[in-house]
Amino acid sequence: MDVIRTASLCKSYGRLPAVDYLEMHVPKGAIYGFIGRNGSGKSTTLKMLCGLAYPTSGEIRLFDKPVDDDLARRRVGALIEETGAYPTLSGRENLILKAVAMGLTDEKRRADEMLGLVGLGTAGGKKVKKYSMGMKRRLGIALALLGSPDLLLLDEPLNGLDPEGILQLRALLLRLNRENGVTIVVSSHILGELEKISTHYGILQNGRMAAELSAAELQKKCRDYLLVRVNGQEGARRAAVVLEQALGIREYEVLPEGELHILRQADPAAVTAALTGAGIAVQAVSLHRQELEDYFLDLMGGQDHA
Amino acid sequence: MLSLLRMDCRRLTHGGEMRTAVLTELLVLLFVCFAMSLVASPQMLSAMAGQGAEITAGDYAQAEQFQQMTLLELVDDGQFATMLSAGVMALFGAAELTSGFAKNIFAVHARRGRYVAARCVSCGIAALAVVVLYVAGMLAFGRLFGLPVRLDAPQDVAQFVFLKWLVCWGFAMLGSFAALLFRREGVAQLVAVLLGVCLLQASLDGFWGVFHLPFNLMDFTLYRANSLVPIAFDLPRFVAVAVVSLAWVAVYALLSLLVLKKRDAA
Repeated sequence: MDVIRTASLCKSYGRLPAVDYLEMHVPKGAIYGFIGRNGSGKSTTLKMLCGLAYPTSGEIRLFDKPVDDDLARRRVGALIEETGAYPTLSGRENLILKAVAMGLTDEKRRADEMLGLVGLGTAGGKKVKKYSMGMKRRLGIALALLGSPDLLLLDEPLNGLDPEGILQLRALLLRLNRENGVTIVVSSHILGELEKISTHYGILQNGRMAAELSAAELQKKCRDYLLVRVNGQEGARRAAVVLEQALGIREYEVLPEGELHILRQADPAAVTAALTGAGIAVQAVSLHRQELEDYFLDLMGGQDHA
Repeated sequence: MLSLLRMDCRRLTHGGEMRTAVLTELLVLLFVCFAMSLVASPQMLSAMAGQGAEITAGDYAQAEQFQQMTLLELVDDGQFATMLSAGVMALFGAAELTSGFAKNIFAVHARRGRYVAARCVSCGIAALAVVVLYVAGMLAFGRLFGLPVRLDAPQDVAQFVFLKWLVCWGFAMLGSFAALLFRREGVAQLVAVLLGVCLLQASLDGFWGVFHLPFNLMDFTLYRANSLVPIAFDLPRFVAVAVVSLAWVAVYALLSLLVLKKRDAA
């Protein structure tokens, strides 16, 4: 069963379409890495999924129920953009208020439990306005985890976290997913971190799903390549010609600063010999695996950054 | 809805907005009663005259009048309680939106109507606290500063407090609506306080009077209802004030719901 399913989901602000006929499918039990450039519609999509924004058109189903179903919404925890907390109240008090709003019993114990879980056990009594950015983020995660949700929607949860915090959050998300079966949708610009935990990916471009695939499918699509580094851009172009003429290699990419990626199987020794024989100095030859970041950049059609 | 109401009640008691409003109210009452005690005492006036102050016969007559006033005559203030009710709920509601805490609420509660219903009740609670504190404070501080505050008949006090509460409830709902509409603490509070103090309404009332029409739209406002609250029980005025106040509570609740249904929560 898909925990999240959208059909032709649209959201426009005035005449500007932020989300444009989005088809999204998040399987139960997945950790779904939600990726896209700045302004691609990730936050807008997440807002619509947790009922903070009304779609212009289209449909959203959570746990196979409409998005405004009370029971479905009770099963969702969300951290969208900045942490929503009263700055003049303590972290603990904010958690208690949310627990009360959710109708949870024993709200004080639950608040303390969440504070401990995110590493704010000793800072729960401080006012939120005195929290660092990382502490506010941890509080936001604690607020999202209140009520033991079956679906977590996390918008840039790693922002502001120190390396230790990132490690802790990663461990926590993996534990929630593996032990409690929580489905998690995480949007992040730190693709390396997403790669470590995601079982599925959704890549958004201009409000539309450019690709939606599992980690296994991504693995198949990500290409091995032979990296060859020569002297300068001109050297790289000459090297490409030599490789075509001498070895019949036509599947390659010429990159800036004298880098060549040979995209088919090639013998490093033969490549080095052919280039050296043509008087081209070879600075480096090594085998590489295309990672999520490379795949994303390829999909986005260039060297733009996420 | 009950869980949202519990949340509001907890924030009213633990948060800063109501605390600030109560403190402000007590300080204002303290100052007002102190000032009144100076002008209400013939002995004080004589002492001030002895120091060279210009004290007229009118001042002595006014002092005599103060000596005869009952609690409700002293409390029948005008717009302080209404302004406070509107201001505190504007701040209360706007803080929820500007801090982003509203995201936690609306992500869980899809039905905006429940939120509005709970807020409606908490506005009533806040307004009741403002009115009761106002009457009790005037009595306590008045006696503290030696004002001979005579108690009205219990049924008159009860009906006055009840009607004043309904009017203030209407103004509290106005403040809450302003918060949802403007979503900024400063703007919402400014609008709520200006309307709570009835400057605009009084100006419109004067303007309307120029035309000598057989009806006055201002008769259907909270501003007029506030001025009509009687000191002694008067059935037609009682009904008029109650109906107008409750109608405006309902109007602001519907307008709040409309705003929430039309605009994104975040």
